[in-house]
Amino acid sequence: MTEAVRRLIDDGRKSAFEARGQKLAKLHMAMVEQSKTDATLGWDSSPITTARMCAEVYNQIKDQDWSLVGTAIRLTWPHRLWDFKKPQQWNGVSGGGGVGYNLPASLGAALANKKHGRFTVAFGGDGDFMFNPGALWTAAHHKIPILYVVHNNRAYHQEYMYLTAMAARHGRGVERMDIGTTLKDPNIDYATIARGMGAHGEGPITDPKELAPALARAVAVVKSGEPAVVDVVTDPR
Amino acid sequence: MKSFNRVGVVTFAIAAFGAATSAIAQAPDVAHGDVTNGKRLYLADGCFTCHGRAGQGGAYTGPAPALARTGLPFDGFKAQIRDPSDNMPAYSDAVLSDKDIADIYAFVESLAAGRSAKDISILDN
Repeated sequence: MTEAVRRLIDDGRKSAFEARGQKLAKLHMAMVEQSKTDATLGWDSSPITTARMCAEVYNQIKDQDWSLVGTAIRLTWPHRLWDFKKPQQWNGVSGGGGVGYNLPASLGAALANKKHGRFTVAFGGDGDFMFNPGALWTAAHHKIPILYVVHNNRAYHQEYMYLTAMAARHGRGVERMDIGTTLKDPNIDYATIARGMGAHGEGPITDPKELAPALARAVAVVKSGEPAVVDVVTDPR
Repeated sequence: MKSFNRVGVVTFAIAAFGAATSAIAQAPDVAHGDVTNGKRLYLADGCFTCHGRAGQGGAYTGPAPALARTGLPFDGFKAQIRDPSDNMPAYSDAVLSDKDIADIYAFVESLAAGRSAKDISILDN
């Protein structure tokens, strides 16, 4: 089919297509460069920026046959910084943005990837994680390899933002929006939860310099066929 | 997604600069904005929830642009807070006074700017 279509493209159209392709490629590279510059803002901050978290993860997995099967809400950095070339490198998100979907859904995708020998990686919010942490036991029990990175902003953060927005919109005080929306006091240690479920756990990581070695250890575990969780304490978005 | 972020920044910038040129001068004491109080407000009033603690930008229902040293004029910055051009919530003077906004402005202008990606090895690929 592809060849048949190609044969029907005359020289004039072919030149137009090539010119358009070059223009788009140039624009794409400009956006990538801008994204890299944007990612430097707050690079050494703690809590860790989501840009740094995603850049550090990519640096550890880019030479694998990787497959990203989950992201936290509004986490756009993988698509801004990573080089996606194959369809299986991204399988989309929950259609309705449902909280609690990401961990078990990522596990299902990891199981599908296992027979292909792909390296499965997923990001998930801490709020999402709270809905079904038992999925990790399933991963450990059935030896489903996955690198699961918890984007731990210590909140049901989308809710936090909506409440702030609504309070501002109605002219009310906006300084108590953390009540009922944050996951702190006590802070939750997702790495310990992971270990309790029989999976490898790293973190909670608050110093960005500790990310690379922790991720390297987790990647080695995943390559051995086991699940690993890296708990990264992040800025909200 | 890449283009969304750029659109968000451009939208903010256009609105802010437009407002700057048309705003009636209110003579906010921008030069003497209190960075410490601005940081307190930025964190307490939820600015950081969308724009990040380092002013690096983030997201709400759509992209929330970076605020670290944007160089935006104060009048445009204030206009965006009072009457946002997008889905950002409006903050009336019952919630944030002009002095509060001046302090927040002083804080975001004090934040570290971005640097060259070439200085960070894992970004220079």
